[in-house]
Amino acid sequence: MRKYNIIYFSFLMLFAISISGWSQTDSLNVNSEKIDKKVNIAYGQQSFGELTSSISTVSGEELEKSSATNLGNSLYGRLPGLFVIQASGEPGKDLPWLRIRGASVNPLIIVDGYERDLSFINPEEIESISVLKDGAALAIYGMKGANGAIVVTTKRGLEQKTQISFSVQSGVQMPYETVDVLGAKEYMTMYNQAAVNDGLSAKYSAEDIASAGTSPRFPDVNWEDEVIKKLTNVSKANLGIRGGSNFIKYFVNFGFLYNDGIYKPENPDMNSNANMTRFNVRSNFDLQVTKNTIFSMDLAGNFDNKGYPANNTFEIWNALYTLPANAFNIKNPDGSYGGTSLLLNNPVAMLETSGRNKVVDQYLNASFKLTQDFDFITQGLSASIGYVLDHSANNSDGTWRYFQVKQIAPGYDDNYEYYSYRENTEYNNWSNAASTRFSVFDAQVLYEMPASNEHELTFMARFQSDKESKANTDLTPYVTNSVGGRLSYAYGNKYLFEAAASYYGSDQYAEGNRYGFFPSAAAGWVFSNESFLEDSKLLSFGKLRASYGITGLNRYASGRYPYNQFYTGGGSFPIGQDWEMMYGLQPGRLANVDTKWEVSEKINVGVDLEFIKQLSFTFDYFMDKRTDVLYIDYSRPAVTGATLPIENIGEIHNTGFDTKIGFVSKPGDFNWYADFMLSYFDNSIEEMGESLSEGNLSHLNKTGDPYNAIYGYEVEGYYEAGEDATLAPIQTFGPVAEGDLKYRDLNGDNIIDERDMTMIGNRLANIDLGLKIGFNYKNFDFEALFQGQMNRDITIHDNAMYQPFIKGNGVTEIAKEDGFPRLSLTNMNNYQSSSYWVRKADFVKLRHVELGYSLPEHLSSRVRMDKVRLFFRGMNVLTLSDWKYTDPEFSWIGYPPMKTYYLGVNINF
Amino acid sequence: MKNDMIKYFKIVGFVLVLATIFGACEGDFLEKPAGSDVTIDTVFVSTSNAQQSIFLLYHDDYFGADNIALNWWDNPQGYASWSEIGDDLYPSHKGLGNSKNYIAGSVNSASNQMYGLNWLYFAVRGANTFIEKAGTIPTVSEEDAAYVDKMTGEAHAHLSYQYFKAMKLWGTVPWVNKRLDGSEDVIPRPSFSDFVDSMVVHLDVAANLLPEQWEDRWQGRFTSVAAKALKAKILVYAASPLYNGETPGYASGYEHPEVLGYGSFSNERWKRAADACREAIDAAHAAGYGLYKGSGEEKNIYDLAIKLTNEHILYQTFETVNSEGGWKYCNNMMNWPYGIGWYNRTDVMYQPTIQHIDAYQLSNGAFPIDGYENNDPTKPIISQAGIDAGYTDQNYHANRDTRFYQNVVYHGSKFGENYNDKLINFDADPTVPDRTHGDHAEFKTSFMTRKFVNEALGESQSITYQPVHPILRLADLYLLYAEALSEYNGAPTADAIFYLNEVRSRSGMPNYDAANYKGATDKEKFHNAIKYERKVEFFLEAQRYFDLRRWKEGDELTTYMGGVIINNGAVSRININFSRIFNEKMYFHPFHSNWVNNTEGLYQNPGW
Repeated sequence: MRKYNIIYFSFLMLFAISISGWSQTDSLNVNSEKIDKKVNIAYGQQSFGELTSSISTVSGEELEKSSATNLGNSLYGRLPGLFVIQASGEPGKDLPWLRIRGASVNPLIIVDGYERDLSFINPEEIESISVLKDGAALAIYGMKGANGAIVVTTKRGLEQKTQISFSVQSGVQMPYETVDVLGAKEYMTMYNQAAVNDGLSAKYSAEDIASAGTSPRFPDVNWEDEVIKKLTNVSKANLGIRGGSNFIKYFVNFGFLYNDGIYKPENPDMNSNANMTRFNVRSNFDLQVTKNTIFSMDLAGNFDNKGYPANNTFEIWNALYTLPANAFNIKNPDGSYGGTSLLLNNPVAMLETSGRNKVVDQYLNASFKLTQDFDFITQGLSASIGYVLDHSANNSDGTWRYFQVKQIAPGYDDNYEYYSYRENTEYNNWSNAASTRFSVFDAQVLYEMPASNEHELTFMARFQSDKESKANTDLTPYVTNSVGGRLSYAYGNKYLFEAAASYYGSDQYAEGNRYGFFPSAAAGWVFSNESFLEDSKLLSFGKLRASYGITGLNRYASGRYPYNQFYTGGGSFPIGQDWEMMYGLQPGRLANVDTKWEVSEKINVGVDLEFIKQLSFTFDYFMDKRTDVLYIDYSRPAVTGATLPIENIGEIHNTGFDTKIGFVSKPGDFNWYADFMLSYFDNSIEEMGESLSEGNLSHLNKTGDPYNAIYGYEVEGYYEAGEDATLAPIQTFGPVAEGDLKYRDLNGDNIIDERDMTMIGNRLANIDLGLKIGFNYKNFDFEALFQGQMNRDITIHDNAMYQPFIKGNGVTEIAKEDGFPRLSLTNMNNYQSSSYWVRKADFVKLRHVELGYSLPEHLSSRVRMDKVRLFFRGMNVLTLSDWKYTDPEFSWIGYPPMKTYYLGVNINF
Repeated sequence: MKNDMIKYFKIVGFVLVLATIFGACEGDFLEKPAGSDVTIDTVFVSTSNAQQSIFLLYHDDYFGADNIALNWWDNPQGYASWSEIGDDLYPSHKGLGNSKNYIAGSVNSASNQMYGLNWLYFAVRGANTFIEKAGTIPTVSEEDAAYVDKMTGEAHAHLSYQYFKAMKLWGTVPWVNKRLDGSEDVIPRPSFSDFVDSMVVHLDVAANLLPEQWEDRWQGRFTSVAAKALKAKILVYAASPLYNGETPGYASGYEHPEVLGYGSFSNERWKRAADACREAIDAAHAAGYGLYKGSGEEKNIYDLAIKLTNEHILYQTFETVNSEGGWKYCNNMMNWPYGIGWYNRTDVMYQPTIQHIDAYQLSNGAFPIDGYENNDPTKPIISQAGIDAGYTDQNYHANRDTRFYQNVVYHGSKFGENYNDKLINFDADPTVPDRTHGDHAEFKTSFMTRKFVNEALGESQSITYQPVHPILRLADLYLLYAEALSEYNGAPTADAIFYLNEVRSRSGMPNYDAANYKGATDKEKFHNAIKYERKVEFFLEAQRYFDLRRWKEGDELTTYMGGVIINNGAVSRININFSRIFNEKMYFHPFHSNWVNNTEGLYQNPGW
């Protein structure tokens, strides 16, 4: 594999260098109006003015304003209808969740026509990104389109003088917010309070508390200071070469990224910090082979080298957020690591001595396409065939060991004796390799009727077969086949019609159930071109549009081929005199020969307006009705004695709207612009195969709730001083006293138990906002992008870090400042999932802010450069939220998202 | 005109080419490639495949499940076991397993179940599938055909094994005797009488098909002796007061009393039980089973618990373990005193309470403790025999039933043979050197369990052993037989006393002396003798919880637990502020409300 890579890269380099010498021809000055701007749609392009479906777009130029280490993180607040949800900030693990219009999983991601990974593309490589949202736009993706699609188009060569653009930027990163753990004195004081609350005597004497931090017998460790660096660094560089002649057009790009981790202690013998290094290269070539034939070859390669500590991220951060400051010493006086029988995870020791993991991800994407003009048959007819071979290899290895920790035995002088726990073991090594091969064959016919005065007609038909093989995990390839087409017709630039459909098949289903038909239709009316508005100075453009379409989701809900009754290996047990292991065979999930894809019916109504050629407005209202959603029918009798089949019984509804308003000032010395977008959806699961409860238990039902609901108890208030707890409904989580949470007895049986749980919140925001403002003044440019989410709840109970003293936890600032219920050492009454722990976590973040300065032309031309621009950029630098203890998007235990400040330069020549 | 023709043909030709390409995708592209997948059609094609569907039934998800604590990540019961609930133990992991609601008396129809119907019917389906398919399995030899018969016997035996499990928990459950697809007609809970008879019929069939002994490599599978022993046990249960008599008072007015028991008393049921016991004992003797006596009176029970003996009639096996535990069997690693041997584990799992300690007879057969003032474990009432024997809280461990020393680890006792004469030291004062508990916050009673913990494992990391956990052993049959005889005859017969004494003398205990037991009649005294014997003999074998319930003596489970604390060597009794609560509707456990909602005919038990 490695050898293959080296050859591949050398080949690309040579090719790129030799080609880049050929540049000739004049540069093309592309200066198109927005209405005429080409928008990338499924397997084609349309001008914005002629679109009848719901598609939002962002250009590569705009994306270059983001320095996100993952392309997904550059999409915040730019694309109405797309919700981007922040994940961890760990190098190489920062792909956010992408959700279109309330879908519950990531959309289909298409890069240059085929399903591919988003993570390793640099913004500089991108021509544009389109988000396809409605049935008309998605019908052609058939069984894969139900969750929407993100269509990424990379830059291609242009018939122009070679342009080289180079950028380099370097920045410092810091966690946006981490949870502070209280120091030993405060911890001991609160511990005593909790003990007294429990009817026990105080554990720490005043002397103990006063001695905290004074000797190894009384440790006071701020683990966060010991483990987390104040700053770490990230650097990016990109080199793009673009040009072409009438014979060859090319775009070649090289990218580099280095992102260091935030951990302070490191193993001196190996790099145990989190880190990522990425090299990527892309070359898109179009060769005019004959007068009528173009051969296109797109190659892209990526090499990610990632490192992590041997202990997983959760273990490290869990230790940071839950260890009491006085639990043990970082290192004991004898040089050994501190620890106790229960708390073996000394975070400094984990990072210094546990070992490290290494992950190498390599992607090679290769597509080849031959396009033939058939003008000699009839003008406007062309056809192409394509072949794609993508390969990804994921190799990981690691070395790890257990380490010994010691606890100082009780005593009173400096003559320390120790209890020791666990032994230092030898380092163990492991490795794992996985690879995926994805191949596609496709063929397409395109007919664009030669322009006539009133009619415009475009027809496209295509065939595609996808095959994905995953080595190691699943030897059987995943295969889908489709034929599809689209017919667009416009009359007099006023009346637009479009019909698109696909006939899509998947190998997942039983014969006879494999293919589905996914039709759509859309219409638009450009009323601004009607005679009565043609001369309007105010309304420069106006269009109404509507679409209806059916798409599907080919979901592998419970493994492959659900129409077969499989048996799987069951449990093992030894038997006979030799204690020989025997292995059982157990029936798998009951076969369901009727299984098929999930169906999504989408209706979209929209309007596009433009006033005085400066102010644009787009609004879309949508309805998305999912039927045949795969769920288990839990209402089947309990005596069936089998794992119940997954059936097409569910129904989910999503409705909502997304809108965008844009403004551009008139050209002048001072130009400014602003974009505002807002997305909203309302989600409910109408049918999910739930075994429904009736009467006074109906609050238990989840049917009708949104899929990301939070369930728990409703809190009525606190137990008051002197209140007789026996009068209230019986609490079953532990004895209650003054200051404890009192739960509502929803079913009225006078006992608080699982049957009183109900929906108490909603994890996923349903409003997403974006505001972008920017200006150019002479050589300066400025831009800021705000993004926010509303109607978002988080629960803070389900993380150990918020349960002081339980299972040896420390106390965090949250527990202290938030006015927690009565403290206790063991009582779990207050830590049930309840409305008390549900907090609003709406937020607005300044996702990026940038100030740029371009050298005056007479200076840059002196160094033979077209453009030299210096910039200062901040990413995620500001967050406004009522929830202040963590990043509001990342309220759990793990590597938090980072804020970053960059300095950089763009050079074009 | 000619140009138009050419153009026309070109277009037609083009379309035809396209049609060929597009048409190709309707072919067999999407057919699943042939592979090595196992489907129902490939399981029952040979005895070697088919036997694996029988092996599944021995897996601890279904077989012996919840008799002993397995690792918490294992379904269905996690750390929990019926021993944890029914034997006198402080369950330090009460928050983890599904047992906590059963111990706290707060179980209800919404709480997680120890052993759920889903597991039970999964095993039932497995047995039914085998019985249904047995005739279709191609055999290559007479031996092969005989093997299919034996396996059919196993399937029948497992069917009754599962239904007996249901009977102990809930009374009767719908009798399913075929593979269901989830859309069948109602299968209601049958009457108790039919339910018992059906189990017996299947066990009779099984006993006929099964061998008396399997060849060596198959040791551990159901034998005809095991089928007979299981039948005997089922019939003793069925003859016991919970089922053999009036419906319990709390269930009066319940619409389906027939699913709970017979509804009236018949002494003949004890006769039927006694006969079945006799038949099983005879069969066991004939097949070479006997009480294990190979290690001496003071070691027999301990050794029996850590190795396979000829007393084990039906048992659960686990993969080989060392003191870190096999990946399932955690009894050793969780009950290991800290600092003993090479392994420093600080967990504590099962801790016998002081009530359990107090229950052991003196070595002369008398009871030193008569009970407690106000049920307070710190205020024992010392009996005359106890006073005579010089009982004090400081020397509570002197002169007790040998099974006390074999079952319990206590302060001052020895653990294992080769640990430099280090004694167990549970002193609470941290300044005392060489303590052997890890200061675990949940270490409450200052006792640990010794039974089922292989003390040799601490000698070296490389020492391993093969754990077995008995489901049916000969001593159980003896005591069931003795009980049935005494109940049927109104007083212990000579045979009843003989078999009781067999069990006692194996552990060096004197013969049955009615004077040592409470009770108004000989039958009652003997019942109390059986009760004592079963408690100490079957400690940690998941028997007591079910024994007390079938005797309708569940009230005894309600306990305010106590332990001891050792301060610089001085022993004092303490309350550990933890109660076990039994309320009478727990005689018949609740079905989960989801099961009841979904399953017409699965009537909820009374009171839930």
